[in-house]
Amino acid sequence: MTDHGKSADPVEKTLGRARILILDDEPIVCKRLKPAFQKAGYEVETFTDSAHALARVEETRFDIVITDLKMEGVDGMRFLSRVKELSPETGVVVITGFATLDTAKESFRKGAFDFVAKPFKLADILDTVRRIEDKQRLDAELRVGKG
Amino acid sequence: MGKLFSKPGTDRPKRPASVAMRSLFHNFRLILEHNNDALELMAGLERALGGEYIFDRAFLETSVRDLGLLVQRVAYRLNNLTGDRYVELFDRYQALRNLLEDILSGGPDPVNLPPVLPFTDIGWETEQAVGAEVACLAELKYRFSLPVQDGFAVTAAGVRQLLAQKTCPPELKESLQREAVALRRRCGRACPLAVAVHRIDAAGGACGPQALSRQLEDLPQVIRIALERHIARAGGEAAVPLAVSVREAPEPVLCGLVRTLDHTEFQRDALSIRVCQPGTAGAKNCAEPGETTAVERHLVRRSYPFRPMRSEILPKPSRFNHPDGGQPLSLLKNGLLRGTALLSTKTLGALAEACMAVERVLNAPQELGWLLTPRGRLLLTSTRPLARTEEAPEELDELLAGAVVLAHGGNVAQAGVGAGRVVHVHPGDDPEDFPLGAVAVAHAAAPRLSPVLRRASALVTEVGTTVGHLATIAREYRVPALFGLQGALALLPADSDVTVDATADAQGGTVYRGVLEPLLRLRAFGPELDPGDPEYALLRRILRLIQPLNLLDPEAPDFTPAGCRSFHDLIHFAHEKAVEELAEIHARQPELHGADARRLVLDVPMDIRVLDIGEGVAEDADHEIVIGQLTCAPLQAFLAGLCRKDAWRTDAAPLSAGDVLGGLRKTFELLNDSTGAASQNLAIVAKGYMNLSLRLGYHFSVVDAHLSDNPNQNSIYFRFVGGLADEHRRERRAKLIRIILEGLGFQVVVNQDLVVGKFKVADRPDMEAVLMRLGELTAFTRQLDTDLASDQAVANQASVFLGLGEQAVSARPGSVQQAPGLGEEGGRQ
Repeated sequence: MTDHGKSADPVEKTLGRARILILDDEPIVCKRLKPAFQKAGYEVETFTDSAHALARVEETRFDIVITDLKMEGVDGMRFLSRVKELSPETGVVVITGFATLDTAKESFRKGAFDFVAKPFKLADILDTVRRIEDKQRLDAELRVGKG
Repeated sequence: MGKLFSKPGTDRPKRPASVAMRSLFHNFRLILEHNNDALELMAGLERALGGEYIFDRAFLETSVRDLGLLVQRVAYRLNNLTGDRYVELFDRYQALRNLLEDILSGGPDPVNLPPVLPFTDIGWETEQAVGAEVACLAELKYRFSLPVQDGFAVTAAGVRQLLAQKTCPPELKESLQREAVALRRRCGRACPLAVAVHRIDAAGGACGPQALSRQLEDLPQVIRIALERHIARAGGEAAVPLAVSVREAPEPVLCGLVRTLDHTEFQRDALSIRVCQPGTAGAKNCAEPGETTAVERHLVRRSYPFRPMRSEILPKPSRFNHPDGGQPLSLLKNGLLRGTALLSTKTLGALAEACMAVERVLNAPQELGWLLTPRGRLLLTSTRPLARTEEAPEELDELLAGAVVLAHGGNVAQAGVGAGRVVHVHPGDDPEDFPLGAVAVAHAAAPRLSPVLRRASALVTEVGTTVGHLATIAREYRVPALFGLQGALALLPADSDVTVDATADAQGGTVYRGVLEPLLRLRAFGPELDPGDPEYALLRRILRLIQPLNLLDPEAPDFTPAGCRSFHDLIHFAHEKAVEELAEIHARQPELHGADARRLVLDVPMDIRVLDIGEGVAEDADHEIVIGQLTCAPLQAFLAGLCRKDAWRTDAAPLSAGDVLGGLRKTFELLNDSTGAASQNLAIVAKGYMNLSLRLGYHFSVVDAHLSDNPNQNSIYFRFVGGLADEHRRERRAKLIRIILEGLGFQVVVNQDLVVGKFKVADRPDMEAVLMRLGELTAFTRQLDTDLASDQAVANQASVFLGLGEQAVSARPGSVQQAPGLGEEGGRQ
């Protein structure tokens, strides 16, 4: 299920704003994260159903993905893997209420940028997303330099 | 958490002590540690309620499970300590744990609620029994003191009882009559009562009355008819849980609708008010937003002082008699004419204030029904959320980029956005004078500001923490609150308009110049936790069984395991009993008599024995200890005050025959104390901990203090009771101690002559200063109640001690001066 209310057409980054996809099967997490990121100037789409979210990342590219781990259907680890396959440069943040060292290690092995245990502060996840942006900016500059 | 004590295995070689003694202290230490850990978890849950964290259901489940384990361990350790004297604690723990599990599993409200509940007993946490609409109205009325219809509710269980039989069950009928009589006592004998049916599962909606009851005898029948009609209209869906509200319904002289956010008719955000007279052509359509005839309309600003922006007023004859008794050309006190508007400017402002307070509480723009009684009483009759905006205002980015930041920083105690005119709050200001809807700015987050939170749209303080008492109140009232914003009083001048952004999405909050409407609108869909969110209600229901501390008085008859109604009660009970066990160790466990207690040599006439349970005394100390050999920081600070010579009076205190007779009873009780506890002053000490039981004159006091470099783990518990004086003087003494403790920043509860004060979350210098003052206070009050012949004497002595009245201070040469740092009142509970 999606609550983003956007058209299905692939759209590129608008007005220089980074695009974020948030996937968590608990609606309260999406409901609270969405306005916080919007206020910070991001384009946000939220999903509570991993199958719908997967369909969305198949058709368009997001700069940043924030995903829960433990979900019905496609779990967060599979979702993370697929996102990185489709778009290696997308920064993925894993959020989970069942944090263990093993899941953290596996997340990083699959290419997650950061692993955040719930509960977390809004300011902390915003900070994580900004660090992803910094890294992406740096990577882009390096690419230009090499080119 | 930081360690107050060294680990048992790493203790330095001690003086000879039995294995039993070590085990005793080990249990005591663990009780304290589990107690602190449990309090931290509870604080985390409470902060989650304030919007500080993004959490999910797993967090709630994990927190309850972890907290339960800690409480269980506390109960286990207390029974180890006391030889299984409190086995019943396990039963209470298990009962509470079962209730919490039921709530988490989504079952029906496990608390056995009566079938009829007055609004006073209804809150968000009883939503499952009465429905969201009723819970909302009751909360607004009794928690937030807003002008909402008073009433009571028939719970879902009550409705089931009523519908199960053809006639109302006698017990239910009796409950209905009792609550109806009580309601009429509050709102007027002849006041009609409106009956409305509510679906428990409905997310919200207008609470329109379905029937009126004028005769109380008919009430059960009226309720039954309303229910049957509702069920018939819903296609006979009796399976849907229903509740009923019965509310006061006085005949109105004016009524109408308010929309707290209306930007359809004007370029700027505004609050719109529709006004009509019952019985006129427009009255029946007043509730229809599209209707424009025979209705007056006003647009007013959405922030204090709620200035009118535009009014549409119907023409009236110059001799028109307004409902408030005036005529259009009547001269008002301010020199202006009354005018032709149905609603006076004053009532218009009051209505806007109340409605914006509802929006703030419910975290979303609202449409509210209202009425005005012939006596000028304004009542809100319904509230429902307006359609929520899903996207951030488009202009927000641009607006925030161009906004002037007046201040930034502090810590968010309650997330949210509030705007309005700045009003500085100073000590001594009457909270009732605080204008509803203004932004409060104060130096310290002191408990005395609690009443201001009922009226403010936001609160900013220079000092204070997010785990203190005032933070709890801010969360309770859902007032955006920023604590610890340095220089706030200077940066936010009185009478300036500001917007406080405490949306918890940054490290600290921001205060902008002016009222930024788009930012205010953000709260309609912001990241805060809304009362309408299931997680909010779930958390509230969980906290109801976890957080409240009901067992305040250790001397009360219900201070028993069976009297524990929350996890907090359980750990508090265990803590008190553990302390008592050690304080009375000589009587209860005679085989340990004097095992480690050593005499403390002091320059003042007091005999204190010291029991070291972990690095509280220097290794080289012998049977007699001097102050220099103490390494217990809280006791050092306390003794610095206690041993001040000028705090001790040597002149004879004036005693009346009544004083002596009144004190004799207590004296005999104490002399006959079989525990022997009364015979000795005992300090149980560790490096960062002190539990001091003191008998001074005829007063008995306990000071329990944790002192470390982590402010969140620092606390002082102070208990004071007894005294050789008549009842009135003892009560005055209690009053004096209350005033002094509150002046020092304590949260205080007084029960007759028992005074219990709590002081939490302060940094080391503040803690040491307060402990020193408690030492002074102990000496100061040694025989003080015999001096307290009048209330004026109480005020004088309080001034003397707190150093507030220069004349009073000079009148008593032996008085002490206020210690530095005591103006810091932040975060005490």
